[in-house]
Amino acid sequence: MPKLGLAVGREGAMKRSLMLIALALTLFLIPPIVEKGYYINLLAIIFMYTALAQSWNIISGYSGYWSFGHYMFFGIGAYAVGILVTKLSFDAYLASVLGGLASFLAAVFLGLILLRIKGPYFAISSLVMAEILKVIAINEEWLTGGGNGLILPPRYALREFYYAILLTLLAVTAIAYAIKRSSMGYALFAIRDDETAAETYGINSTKYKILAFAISAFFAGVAGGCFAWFVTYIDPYSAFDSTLALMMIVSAVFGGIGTVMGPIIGGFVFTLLMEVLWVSFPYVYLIILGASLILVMRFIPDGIVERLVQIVQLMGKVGIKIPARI
Amino acid sequence: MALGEVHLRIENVTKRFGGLVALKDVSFALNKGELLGLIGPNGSGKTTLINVITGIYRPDGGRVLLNGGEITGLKPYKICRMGIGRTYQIPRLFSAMTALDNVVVGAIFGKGRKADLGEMRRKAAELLDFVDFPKLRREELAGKLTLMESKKLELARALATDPEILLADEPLGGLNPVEIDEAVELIRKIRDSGKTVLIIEHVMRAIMKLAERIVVLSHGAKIAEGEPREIANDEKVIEAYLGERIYAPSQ
Ligand SMILES: Nc1ncnc2c1ncn2[C@@H]1O[C@H](COP(=O)(O)OP(=O)(O)OP(=O)(O)O)[C@@H](O)[C@H]1O
Ligand SMILES: [Mg+2]
Repeated sequence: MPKLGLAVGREGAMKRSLMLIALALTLFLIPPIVEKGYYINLLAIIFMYTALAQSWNIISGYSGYWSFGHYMFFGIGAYAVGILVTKLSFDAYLASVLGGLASFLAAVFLGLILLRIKGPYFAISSLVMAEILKVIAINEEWLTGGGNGLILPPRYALREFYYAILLTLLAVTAIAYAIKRSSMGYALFAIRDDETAAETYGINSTKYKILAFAISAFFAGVAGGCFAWFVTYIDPYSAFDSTLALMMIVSAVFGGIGTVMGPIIGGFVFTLLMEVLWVSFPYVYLIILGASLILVMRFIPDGIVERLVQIVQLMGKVGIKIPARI
Repeated sequence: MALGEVHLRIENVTKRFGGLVALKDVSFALNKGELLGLIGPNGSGKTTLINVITGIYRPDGGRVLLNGGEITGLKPYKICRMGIGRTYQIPRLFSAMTALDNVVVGAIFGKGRKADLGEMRRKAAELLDFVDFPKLRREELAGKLTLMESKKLELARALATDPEILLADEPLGGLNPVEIDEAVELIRKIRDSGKTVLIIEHVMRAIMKLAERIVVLSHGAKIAEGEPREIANDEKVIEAYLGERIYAPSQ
């Protein structure tokens, strides 16, 4: 069985690897200064998917409640920004934070209902809820513009989007790390292993599940909000896009659910892969995405991070020294 | 509260599962500081009773009183925080967490919880020593432990919540005779540390030696209550166990 828990012995390694991440992410501050085009765009999209995968990790990776409908929070954030900016002339940055808050509140409310449902039924219910929200976005034309969507004022804001979404990624990663190290992390991991036992030993599982769901939704909402003002156009299909859920899940599972590093590695690798596939095989890339999820879950269910750790440990055993653990 | 006062009272508790009556109007009291045995054949409702006390099931009738206050139907985490700890008959450990972290959970969220994680870790390590859990296995995943280790870990995790009452569901079940002797000593040690203990047991010889008083369930109903010696000679009890030999306590 993979060591996904809160192994105290590995905290040092975890701290070191997080400092590496922080360093790498700081280096990402530089590119937009020297570049303006395709690669900045690509990096920004990678950050966005990675931030989404990390946000999904906080509820689904930690507590084991797999939210298949998590793209609904991206959509809520996107529409909150669309509505606030077009109808109420809000500042885009402030609107993005409010979009996150809208998703947070929606998650508290929906969590009270959905998080009572366990296992696959929760996954399906969250998916159904996301599709219901999409239908609402299509039908409530007075607010959402219906199928025509909302057109936001043009910004030409690639660089702003790049930094905003990088900041979102940094924040969600820091929060994911802090939660994992705190008593809330213990609560969520206990719930993942055995919710009834968790309750027996004093854990108010409803409270922690809803809190994790809402924090997770906040970051997905902020990402959706930034996306809205960046692309300056949203409609129900791009805002409530189930492919997003697939990306989040595949990235997190590939990297290793429940680890802080997993969704980051998974997010980078998978978004790049998608980009390459999308350019080369525009019609079948979704099939490839689905197939890779199946392959990953079949052959490395505990994710690539766990595997790398094992490889490094193995190398250590046969005498190959590696300075720091992954 | 003085020794001998009623600590936990079970009052006319009834629990049904569909047509099956798992508990029938069961009443008895657990006194402060005592070590009470709860016995009965397979399926007689022992575990169900613990599940009712700890809030896993809501009874269809009757009440549970802790220090005279009603706790019937409260959520399990609240009951835990009021000072009732339990272990599971079939260990329900957090299998993907280390042994130590399992105990840390109890310390962080139980009755004696404090914000200081470092302190809770130390407390967990001390408790693992108290139950004689092998030091080298602390960082092992709970899912990989042996049965004896799992049972000890169950006890340590329950104790980490700082319970005043410990409900131990067959802590000796499945252990070999040497391990049973060790576990019996451990249960005694827990009681002697000032806790009120209810222990469910199948191993007759062990329970007769260990318990000061015994309650017997059969088909969900209480059929006897008394000292081990009385229980061993009780007609109804002998009948309920249908020829199973009941050992009298050795002097
Ligand atoms: N959740 C449940 N749903 C339906 N029936 C149940 C449930 N839990 C227990 N039962 C039934 O209730 C009866 C009492 O079960 P319980 O587990 O309390 O017995 P027990 O005395 O602990 O037995 P054992 O010595 O085998 O552990 C049994 O007939 C059992 O099948
Ligand atoms: Mg039982």
